[in-house]
Order: sequence, then C-alpha cells, then structure tokens
Amino acid sequence: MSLRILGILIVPAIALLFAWFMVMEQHTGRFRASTRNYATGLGVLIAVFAVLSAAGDLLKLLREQRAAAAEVSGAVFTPEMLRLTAFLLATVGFIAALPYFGYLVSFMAYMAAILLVIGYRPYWKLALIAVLVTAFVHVFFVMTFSLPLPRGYLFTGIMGQ
Amino acid sequence: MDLAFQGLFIMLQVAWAVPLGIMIGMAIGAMPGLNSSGMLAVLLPMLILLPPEVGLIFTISLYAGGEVGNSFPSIILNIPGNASSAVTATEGAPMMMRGEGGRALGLSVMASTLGAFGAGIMTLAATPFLSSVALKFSSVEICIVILFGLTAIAQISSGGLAKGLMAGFAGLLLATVGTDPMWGTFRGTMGYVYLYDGIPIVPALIGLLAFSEVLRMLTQDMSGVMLKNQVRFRFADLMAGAREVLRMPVVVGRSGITGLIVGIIPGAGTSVATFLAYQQVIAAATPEQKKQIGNGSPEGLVAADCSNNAAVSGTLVPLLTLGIPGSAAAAVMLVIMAYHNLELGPRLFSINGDIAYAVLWSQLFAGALIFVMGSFLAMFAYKLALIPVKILIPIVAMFMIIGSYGANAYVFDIRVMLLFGVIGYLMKLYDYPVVALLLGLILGGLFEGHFNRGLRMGFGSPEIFFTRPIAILLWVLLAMMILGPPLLRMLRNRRRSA
Repeated sequence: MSLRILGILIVPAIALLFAWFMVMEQHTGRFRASTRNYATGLGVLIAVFAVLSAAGDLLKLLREQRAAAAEVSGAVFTPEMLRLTAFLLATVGFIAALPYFGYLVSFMAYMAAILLVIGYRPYWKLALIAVLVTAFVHVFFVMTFSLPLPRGYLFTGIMGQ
Repeated sequence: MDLAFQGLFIMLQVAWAVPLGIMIGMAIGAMPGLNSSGMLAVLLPMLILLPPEVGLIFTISLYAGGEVGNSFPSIILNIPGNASSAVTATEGAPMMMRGEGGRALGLSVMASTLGAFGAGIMTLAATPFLSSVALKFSSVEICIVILFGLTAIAQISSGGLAKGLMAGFAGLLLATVGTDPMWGTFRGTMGYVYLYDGIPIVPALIGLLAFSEVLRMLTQDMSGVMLKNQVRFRFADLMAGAREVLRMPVVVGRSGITGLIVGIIPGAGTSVATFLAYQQVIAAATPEQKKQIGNGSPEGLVAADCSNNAAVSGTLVPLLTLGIPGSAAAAVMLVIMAYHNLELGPRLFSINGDIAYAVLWSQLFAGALIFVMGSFLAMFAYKLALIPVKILIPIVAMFMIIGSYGANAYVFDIRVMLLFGVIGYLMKLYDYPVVALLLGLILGGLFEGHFNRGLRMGFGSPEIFFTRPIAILLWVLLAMMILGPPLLRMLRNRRRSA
C-alpha cells in the first residue's frame, strides 16, 4: 500500500518541486515583476492541480484498498523493473562514456549492453548486431550526412585533433 | 498571369526534383527519432549549389515529404520524430495496436495529400491576399491563436481534468527555462549554457513520447514482435482508410484551412497548426467520439496530418511575399534565395516571380504525388512492427539518441532525452497525459513571448487583447469552438425529448 501511495505522489511531487524551484529562483534572483508574476501564477496553478490530482488518486486507492493491496503484494524488484533499471544505467553509462571514448566504442558497448539486458542470445549474434548497428551509424550518419558525432577525447585529445 | 504560366513551365522542366525530394524526405521522416528539419540543415551545402529553382523546389518537397514520413514511425511504433507528429502518435499508435495499422496509415496518407493539395491550390491562387492577412496578425492576435492550441490541454485529460491541467501548466512553466524573451535574463538554467535557449524541444519530445515508450516495452512481455496479433499489412486496409477520409469533408476542410492560416503566420509553425486542428476536433466531438480521443480517433489523426501538411504550403507565403521564414525549411530556402541573389521580400514576385510561382506550383504537384509515394512507402514502413522486440529496442534506442543529438550536436541533449524519458514513463504509469506537458512546453515559449509583447503594445494594459478587431473575432471563434458544440448538442437533445 505504501508503495502505491509513493507511486501516486511521485509525479505531482516532481511537478511541485520544479514549480517551487522556478518560482523561488525568480523571486530571489533579480527578475522583473512580469516574469516573476508569470512564473508564480503558473506555479500556483501547478500546485493546485497537483494536489487535486494526487488527492483524487489517493481517495480512489482508499476505496479500492483491498484490490490495491493484492496488486502490490509482489516484490519491488521484479525482473521487469530490474531490466528497466539496467537499461537506464546502460544509457547513463553511454552518455558518460560518449565524450571520452567516442561514438564508435560507445555505441558498440551500448548496443551490446542493451541486448544483454533484454536477454538477447546467442552472444555472437549479440556482438554482430552491435557491430552492424555501429557501422550503420558511421556510414549513414557520419559519412553520408556528416553528423559530427563525438570522436572521443581519448582518441583525439581535448583539442579534437 | 504570365508569371504564373512561366512558373509552371519552369516547374515542369525541373519536375524531377519533386518526387525525389518527397521520397528522400519521407525516407528520413520514416526513421524513428529523425526529422527532416535537421536533415535540411545538413543538406544545405548541396542545396545551394543547385540552380535556384531546383534547390528551392527540392527543399520544400523534402520538407513536405518529411511531414508525411514522420507519421509512419508515429503510427507504427508510437515514436514521433517532431512535435507536429505527436498527435499522430497519440491517435495512430492505438489504432495500430488494435490491428488497424493499415487503416491508420491510409487515413494519414490521404489526409496529408488533401492538406498539401488543397493548401497548394489556395497559396497558388491567393498568395498576395494571404500575405496581407499575415501582416495584420500582431503579437496580440498570435497570442490568442496559440491560446486555441493551449485550450486543448483541458480537453486532453485521459486521466482526469486535474492531471491534464497540472501537466499542461507544468509544460508552460518548463517553457520558461532559458532566456526571458523580454528582458534577456536566464531563468532556471542552473548554470548550464546548453539551457540558455530553453529546453531543447526535439530531445524532450523524443524522451517524453518515444523513450518512455521503450521503457514501457521493457516492463512488458518482450517475446515476439510488437504487434502481438501479427496483423499483416493489407493494401485494401490502406485504401479503405484513404476512402474514409473522403467521408470527413468538414474535418479535412477545417484542418486544412487552420493549417494554412497558422502556417502563414511567421513563427507559429506546423506544431501549432497541428494542435489547433486537434483541439477543434476535440471541441466538436460527440460524447461517443470523445471516448476515442487519445485512444485511436480517426478524426484526430486526419486533422493532425491534414493541418501539418497544409501548414507546409502556408509557410511559403510569408517567405515568398515578405522574406520572412516561418519554419526551418523556409529558413533554408531563404539562404538559397540569398545565395542566388534572388529578391527577398515583397518585390520577389515582380522581379523573380517566375521562380516564386514555380515553387508554388511544385506544392500542387507534390500534393498529387504524396498519396502514391506515401502508400508505397507505408507498405515497407509497416514491416517495422513485425521486427522482433528484442532487436527493435536497440535499433530504436540508436535512432532516438541520434535524433536527440542531431538537432544541436550536444551530448547534453541526450541527457535531456533520458530525463524526459523517465518523466514520461512515470507520467504514463500514473495516467498523466504526456501530450498535455508537451503542448505546454512547445507552445509556452511562443505564448509568453507574444503575450508580453502584446502587453507592451498596450502599454502594460491587457485591454489591447480585447479591443483589436481581429482579436475580438478570434475570442468569439474561441468561445464558439469551446461552447458551441456542447450547446448545440444540448439544444438537439432538448428538441428530441420535446
């Protein structure tokens, strides 16, 4: 039940935090009245509707308490959630690695990681797909359309030579 | 009249550029996560080397083809490539999931054809008149036009009105991140130079709609293909969808005119046109039709695609008559025109009128070709849904990363895509309408800028929004659009019960 409540509150909480940050920033910073008022107006509206929507969902949950309790009787760390988390971590790792290792290495590693996470087998096909996708990116986007993907500081140096 | 025929003659001599541009535009647009606006910037060095009429016709054909092609991954994979195909994804993807993919593609292609063809005729016949209409729109009127689109926030409330409004207003506040349009101060940038121009729309869109969808796929059964019932593509379904559009003359006419007029207004863009046309469908929907909104409404899909293709022709009007580019493609065309020393501004039609008319004729020709070429490409694009999910996800992830990066060549934009992807996933999980957030984000910047400029025009008083003649007309239209259909339904029900 508490997990479900947490879930219901997470989106309005993010919205409220953001609204608070933006309104505070524009009040504590040297912003003109028009821009402060605009942000404040929007912030108040977000707060009102965030509270209303969260309250509505919580009331609905209270009414369906038994059914909701049965729904969350399982563990948080289901295989699906672990898969999702691993995918997100792989994406974060890719973004961090891209400027340093360049697109060739990063894309290959990222593709391989995703395929591993989603359970694609056998390993040789996994490696082949990673290489083929990276090759496609290189030929189609970099060579044909001249998209300036990062080549990586480690290979080109900070000055990109 | 002579100039018009000279333009037709020039267009016929270089007519090969139209189908080639449309095909390339469609192919690029059909790649999930990519959009033709970005590709136009990349192709610019090649385009300026071509003769001016070829370069201009090729550019606008590529843009028109891209708007059609963007619909394919939106419908088939629920992965739109730009803001104007967000509505296509919202309405087309549910149709695809319930096995009506062929019908959805037929609706989309025919609506695009009619929008492009109809707007092509109108721009050809009335470009000078249309430009005079565009000149009468100041920030006050543009602000009210954007308000039309924003009222859709209240109506796209799949999880409840409070959730829709919260998401919409959060989008509007997100749109304030960046540089204050009036005073030039940085707001909410947290010191990141990449946010000085605001939250990048394309990565945010890809994250909210596409990346979140990939995250959802990861939490579901990943065996097999995306289309669980494995309905194969049938050309008969596509044709049935196309014929269905012909039975919606009101939706097509209204969306086409909306798209054309909004396209004419510089800076409004195809996304405003799409949301406006969509809002009109929602406002005019019967209670039974309202249940389908957001769950595969054919009218919503037709309105979106018709208006965004009509807007493509509309963007030509301020460019050719006033020298003001209203879209990315128009900006590329302006560069081509400047490079070839064509007259920019109101004298283009008197000095290089034949080339201007050649461009306008090309849109008519493009409109006629879009259906044939779009149907052909749709047959191949449908195969995306039959790729095993375990292979589709990495490929789509790659396109999303490239699509996010390609707009500005910043790695930061990929982070934005990731963040909005997580936000979009949470929103979808708890029934918050993602499209409402997107609406606020896309239209918020335009709205705030025009609103503040309008207030300055009125010396700080909002009275100006209610005293200018076109503004009053727009308020009346807005009120009619929101209140009219439910009032009419109420009167009809009373007459029936009486």
